Amino acid sequence: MLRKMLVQGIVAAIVVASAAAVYARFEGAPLPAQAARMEEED
Amino acid sequence: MSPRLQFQLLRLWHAWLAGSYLVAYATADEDSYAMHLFSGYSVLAAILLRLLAGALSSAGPWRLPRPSLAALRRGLFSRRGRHPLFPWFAAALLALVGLSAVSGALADGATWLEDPHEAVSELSLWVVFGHLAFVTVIHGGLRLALPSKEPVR
Repeated sequence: MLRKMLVQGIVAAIVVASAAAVYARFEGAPLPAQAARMEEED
Repeated sequence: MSPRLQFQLLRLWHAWLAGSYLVAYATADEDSYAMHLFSGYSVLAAILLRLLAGALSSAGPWRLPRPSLAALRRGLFSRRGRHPLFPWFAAALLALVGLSAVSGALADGATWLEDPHEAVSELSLWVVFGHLAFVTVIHGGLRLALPSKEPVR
């Protein structure tokens, strides 16, 4: 059961992260990887 | 609603909260502020839903945890039933993660709340680690303590 709950938590994290990334795109904010790239270019 | 379905929904809620918390903690950086905002509000929604469901149910898995010192003293060394530290961990996590989410939401307008939000969030992470260690030890320990299903020769 512990393993099942751990897997469910990780799947939920992936779902939330994906939804948050979509939200960030709509907000016009750069994604973390893009922000890091932009910082490097600066 | 059957107790089995209630329990499954509670596990789904647990996954939602754990997943959102993980993303919110991992994106607590200026570069990923929008993602942090989204996952933080997801944590807040999960906590509010849990409090509402807990307030509406008087029995079953959705009832709010009720930590008791007497039960802790009675049950700490007993192997019967649920470990009495479970409600303590559940209450501490609901309070700290809830406080972290509320302070984060308010810090959007009141910037002086940013430092308290960060402090509560860091503290909540240590309680999450404690919860993980406790659950692992309790379940692992129970598995070791239970008699094997294999017949004794």
